[in-house]
Amino acid sequence: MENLSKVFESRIRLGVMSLLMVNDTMDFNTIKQMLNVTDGNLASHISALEKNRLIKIKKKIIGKKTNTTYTATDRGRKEFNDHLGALEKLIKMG
Amino acid sequence: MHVKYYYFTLHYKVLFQFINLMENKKEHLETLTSIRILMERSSKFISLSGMSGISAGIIAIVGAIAVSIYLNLGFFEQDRSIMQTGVRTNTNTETLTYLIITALIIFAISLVAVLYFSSKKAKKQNIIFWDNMAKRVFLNLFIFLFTGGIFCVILVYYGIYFLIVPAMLIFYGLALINVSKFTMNEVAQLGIIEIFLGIIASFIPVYPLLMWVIGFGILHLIYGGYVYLKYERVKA
Repeated sequence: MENLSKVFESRIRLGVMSLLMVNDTMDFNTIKQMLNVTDGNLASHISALEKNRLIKIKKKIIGKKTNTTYTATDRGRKEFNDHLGALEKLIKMG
Repeated sequence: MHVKYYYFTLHYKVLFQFINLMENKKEHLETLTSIRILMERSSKFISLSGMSGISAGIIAIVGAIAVSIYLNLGFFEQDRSIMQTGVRTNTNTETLTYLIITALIIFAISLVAVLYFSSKKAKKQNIIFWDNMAKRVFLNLFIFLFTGGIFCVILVYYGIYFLIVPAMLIFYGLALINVSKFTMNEVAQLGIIEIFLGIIASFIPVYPLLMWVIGFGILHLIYGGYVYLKYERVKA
């Protein structure tokens, strides 16, 4: 239980991490479409993940637009796996 | 909020804790399931429908029938003339043009059918059809199909007609195996069978129509029917 991370209590943050576990990089819009959330909502969750150093943000400038992509950090991968392990343990219990 | 308080509580409270624990469990299970679905949806092209396989199979068979009538060649008849190689000596260009145009038409209609049925399935699954994943799948498919196409043109140029159908089958099989990592496992199995059939066809090249009908017609029907029954009919 101690492994259940507070950061992942939010479904959206957990969703973002799930996506970044199986995709090397992903851009904001794809994540938004996948999770079916609003811009503002997703942005706040993403900045929370970044603050915890679970994901990295990369900004590229293509033409006039900036294209922002996200990648999971090693720390993020580890925490996510620990979190899943803890969830599994909880389910198996009892 | 969990088991920790078990021993210190009264009966009804223990019961309450127990229910709470069950609910938590259900919630955790749901979380895990949704994670799995998200991972699969984002890393795999899951809209490839069974119907698209079935339609591709029917189109291939119809095309083979058209060619069979034109060449006056039955499916089980041997075509000895195909073994005569050499740069367009006794093959008339009219026949060649007919065959190439028919093949291109079959390919184009099949492609449209696959795209149509897959986008329909995507709509049903409530996901965007033409996303990065779909682009990746089709790009990876086309690299192999394009190479195979060029190779067949070269075979035609040198008059090695008896290896054209085997080459089509082998390149198609390789293309399927190449994209299978982005989609269902069944695609890889279909690819292996196509390659296997292509190799058999290279050894007995006098049945080009039969091999074509098996590889592009019957195998597609079986594959499509299997995928349809396994993944799609259940939901209906």
